[in-house]
Amino acid sequence: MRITKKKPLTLNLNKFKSKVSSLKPDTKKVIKKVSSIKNNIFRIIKQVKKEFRLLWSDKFNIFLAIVMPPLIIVFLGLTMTDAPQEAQSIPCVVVSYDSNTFINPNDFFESQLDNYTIPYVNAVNKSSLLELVRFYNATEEIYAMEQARTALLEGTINVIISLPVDFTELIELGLPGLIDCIPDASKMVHIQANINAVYDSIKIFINDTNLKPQFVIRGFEEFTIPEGYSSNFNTNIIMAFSFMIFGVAFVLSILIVVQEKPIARLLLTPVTRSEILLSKFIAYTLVLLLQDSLLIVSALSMGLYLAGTVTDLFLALFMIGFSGIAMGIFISSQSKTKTQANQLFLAFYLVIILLSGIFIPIENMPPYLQVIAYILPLSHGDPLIRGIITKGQSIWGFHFYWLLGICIFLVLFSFLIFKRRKYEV
Amino acid sequence: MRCEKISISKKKKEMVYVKDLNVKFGDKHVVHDVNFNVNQGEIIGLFGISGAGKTTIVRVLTCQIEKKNWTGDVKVTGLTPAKKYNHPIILSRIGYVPQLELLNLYFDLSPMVNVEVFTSTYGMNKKDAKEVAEKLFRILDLPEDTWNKPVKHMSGGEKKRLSMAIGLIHNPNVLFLDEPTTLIS
Amino acid sequence: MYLGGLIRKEFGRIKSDKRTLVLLFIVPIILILVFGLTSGVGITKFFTSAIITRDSMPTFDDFSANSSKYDGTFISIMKNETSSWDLYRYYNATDQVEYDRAYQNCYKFLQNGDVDIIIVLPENFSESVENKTNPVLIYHIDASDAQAIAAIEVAIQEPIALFRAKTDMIANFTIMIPYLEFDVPFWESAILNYAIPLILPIIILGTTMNLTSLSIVSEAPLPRMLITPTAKREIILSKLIANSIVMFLQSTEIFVTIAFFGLYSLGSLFYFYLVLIMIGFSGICIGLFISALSPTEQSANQMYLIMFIIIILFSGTILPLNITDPSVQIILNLLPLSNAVPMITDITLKGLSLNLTSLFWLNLSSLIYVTLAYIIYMFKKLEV
Repeated sequence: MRITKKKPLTLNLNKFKSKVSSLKPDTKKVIKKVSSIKNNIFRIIKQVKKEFRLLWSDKFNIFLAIVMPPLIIVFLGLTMTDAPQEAQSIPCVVVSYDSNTFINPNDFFESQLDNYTIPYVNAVNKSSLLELVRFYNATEEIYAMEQARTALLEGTINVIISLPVDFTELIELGLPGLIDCIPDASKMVHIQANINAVYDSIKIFINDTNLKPQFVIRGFEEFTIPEGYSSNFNTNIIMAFSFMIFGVAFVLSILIVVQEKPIARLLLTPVTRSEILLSKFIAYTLVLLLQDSLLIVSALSMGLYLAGTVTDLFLALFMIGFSGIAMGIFISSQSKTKTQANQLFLAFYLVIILLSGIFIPIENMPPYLQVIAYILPLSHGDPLIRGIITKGQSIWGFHFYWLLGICIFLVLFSFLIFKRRKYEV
Repeated sequence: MRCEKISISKKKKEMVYVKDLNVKFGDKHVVHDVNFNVNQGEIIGLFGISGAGKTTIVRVLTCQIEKKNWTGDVKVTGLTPAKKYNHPIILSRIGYVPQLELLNLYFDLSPMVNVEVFTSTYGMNKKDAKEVAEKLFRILDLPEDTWNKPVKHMSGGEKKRLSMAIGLIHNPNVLFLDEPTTLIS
Repeated sequence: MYLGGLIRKEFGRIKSDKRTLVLLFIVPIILILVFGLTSGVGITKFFTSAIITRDSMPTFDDFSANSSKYDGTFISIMKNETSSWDLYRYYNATDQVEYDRAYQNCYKFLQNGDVDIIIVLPENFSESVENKTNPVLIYHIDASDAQAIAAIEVAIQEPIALFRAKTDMIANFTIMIPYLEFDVPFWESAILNYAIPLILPIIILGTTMNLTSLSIVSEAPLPRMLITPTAKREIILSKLIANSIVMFLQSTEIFVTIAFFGLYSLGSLFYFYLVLIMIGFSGICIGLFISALSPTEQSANQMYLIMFIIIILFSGTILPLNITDPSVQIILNLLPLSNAVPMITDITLKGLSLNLTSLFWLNLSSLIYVTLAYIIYMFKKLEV
């Protein structure tokens, strides 16, 4: 057996060094003064370019962020048409106790007057807002009200109209005639429509029976949506606008600091933390501008009537979206892990939408909740957009400045937090 | 921990000077009285068991650890990392190849784009950076077909070599390498 | 079957992520607490008005004498005696110039949202009241407020009724007295109980979707796990089971808290509890679908938000949708809120039992989402 002494492994450093040094450009020419403003701008531009490249590497995400919101607006436009009148008739029953014996408590005089029962039932039939399913004369059908309540419970009718025993008598005596209206109150959104429908029948009844004197009410609607536009779409798109632009911008920016691991390595170069964060703000703001434009274009194409200017609407949406970006970057800057950022996103988002006034009006909340609600962006975004779209208000008002204040606060704090964040490679 | 010095050049310009370096994080004393210096052209290796403080020393030299956590006299390319205003200048003169590629490379971007991202911070224009990068990639034996594909598709060794290329590309005065032989064949 | 081990692994992951647990269990409680403490606070003033009276202007055409006796009565009623009206400002215009100026001011109030309605009492207001002819009331309303437009005709009956009583104009006056059926009794928290059918499902859906929407895409060792006898269906199933158990605990906790804070329920509490669980299960399935489909965490987050927005906007509970196309109706039925909200309302406010159609659609949609998650994951390319 032959034992050969192996030479120790050495790197021919001279050769390696000479190869590498032959590559070097003139250091003085290539690496300019690190602290010049021109170089700062150059670095920021390059960082912005990097952000776009990172965004583009996740095409599915970009598709969801840019294409989906306008698609949702389009679908909303297609589904939110103004329904024809016939489809809006509210099914009801009339239960009349008018034919029962009425005993006048003053003189104990008995009467069974029911002259006004049938005129009223005719008025209900005439009303386009009501659909009379059944008329019960409770004098003849003693279980009328029970049957009516069963129908209400089952949902076959939305309202019970009851004429009390003294209906005709009171009118004849020159006193106010009373009609009991029992709407299904389990669906809050329909209560007003039910009551309006019953009132419509009363108006017809008064007209037909020529009961005087009556107040004549003449109404004029200001800031109306012109003919040819869907009022349903126009009133409801506002909520969808603020909801979406804020949410999409928020979620797009929630991970951009915390998931970028090479920031630690990047900080071992002349680039500063401010430049890195600023480039993120710039890049995502540019994306927001695109999202904004697409949202407005899709809404206008679906028949959005805009009383104000497109510029104001664009600015308003931009402000709401930017508050989402600022909030996302703020959370991302202080989160240690992606999981933490995701959790904070959900907590913030749930609270923001629940206190935005969409589900419960802010005026109905207790004072301490109102304070919190009015700090949050959506509470100002909605009235801002509403004012511009429906009333042609200018953007320069309290809501805009408040949103601006929120954005400035979040941006400043993001920079502060990011500057103090520990990065180690 | 021990340092081994391999002198190659006779030039004596001091690139790294460390005297009485102590690093403490709260009550934890991590580095005790370290002294060494590295002249231009020299290569030194820091050897030690895990937890000895090797990476911590490198972090002090690369301005990653705040002054409040360390004491001693430290100079890198003649400037002390103790002063924050020296950091951009020091960082423009040093190169760093970290141990973990995850912290060093944008996996969703290609090697060329990674080069562009990092070289732009030194003010290098795209054309120059691309030229130098291509030559470095050839020296470091990075296959040409990987240059324009996302880094996540590269093997571990290729990622390591790409890290090295990025560390070298701006021609630093001092190059710091953390566990450089991992994954290298 | 390695299901037991996988389920244990899932529990370990959920348990180690303490913040998610906080989110899942504490945040709904805080929200319920907050809304529960709003009991007794309801709508006080619905309409804020500005009144311009032209009654002082002379009008001799139809009447023997000029009068402006009654406009003050009307204004006083609007200011002090109505329950749902608030008077912001009133103007007494004695000539056209004053009227124009007053109207311009009021228009600005309307535009700024300071008032909802401008009421104008015409020149012959008091004369009509005195002579028992039909007095005219003119109003200008902010048409951008759909609620206001819907309510104005009925709401104005209140001050009119009070005015008629004060001015002895009660003859031939017909009024409607509403008795709300299936409403929340006055001694219960109206805000909380009306909000529950909508807010609870949103909270449960939001948190359970979040629980699972990153469960596949963020679990880095999953591809490594597939280089073992573990099958993809076992992975999906283990996530479904483990997260469902956590969701079950959350639903129980929410149910107990709601009951403690005064849940008003005419119907069976068991049915209510069952619906909460089904909503939670739906959220878990949607989350798994999102996680299986998304290539990255960022896109999973984005998809979570888009789905959440779609579920809320197209459920028909917040925005009125007029869908006549049956195929579109089917798609909308696959959104959990479309069926969950009416089910909860029927149980709590009407005392009905579970609506089988809604039940069917809610569970079918969950099944569809989890099946889609499974199919997508089966075809997903995963490499170590």
